[in-house]
Amino acid sequence: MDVFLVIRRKKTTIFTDCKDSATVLELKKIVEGITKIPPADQRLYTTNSAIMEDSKTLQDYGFNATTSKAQNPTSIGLTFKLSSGEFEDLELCPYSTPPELPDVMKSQDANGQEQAS
Amino acid sequence: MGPNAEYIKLIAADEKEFFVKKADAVEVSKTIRRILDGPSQCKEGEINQIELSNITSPTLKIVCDFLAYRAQVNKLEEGEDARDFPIRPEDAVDVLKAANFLDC
Repeated sequence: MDVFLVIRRKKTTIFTDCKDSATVLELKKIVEGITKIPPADQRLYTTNSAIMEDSKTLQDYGFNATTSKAQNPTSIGLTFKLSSGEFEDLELCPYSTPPELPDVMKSQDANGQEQAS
Repeated sequence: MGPNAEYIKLIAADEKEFFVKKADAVEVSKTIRRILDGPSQCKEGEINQIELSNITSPTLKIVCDFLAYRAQVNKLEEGEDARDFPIRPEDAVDVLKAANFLDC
């Protein structure tokens, strides 16, 4: 089954999907294709900041089609190895906050949900 | 460093970078398709990167989620149930503006 993921590092977000039987190493190869950083210099972290091992599959970490839907993908952290040999700290720049709602919108119920199609 | 042809980079107003599969973006958003695959060679088509300085990063995140969701729905078999895509009312205005611009 397809598992949808969001891989995040500082200012970068990568939306991707793969099979839940895929290994962590395959995921690092996808990241390599985008960032040109070899898997050996990458480190992936789960939502609990646990480091993911190359030999394990995504299923082993609890990612499956029910938890990782396209509308709500699971976040995975990413850091690179620095030239000193140390890995960066896991640091995710949060998205900016939306602006304050104008007063005319505040009193309405949540009935008017628009869907982009 | 441009990403390879499989993924494209979308850059939000606050310079946050979002990588999505080129196939998903081109299939769902007509605007992105015109920019990248149009008859004239846009610079964006060469570097596989589009700057969207009118869309903020939280909105662009919802847009990217939607691109993945819509591409998945398109692949579903007939009669299979497509779960709804949730959007909060506070995000609705920005998401509508982005959807109108990206034509999807």
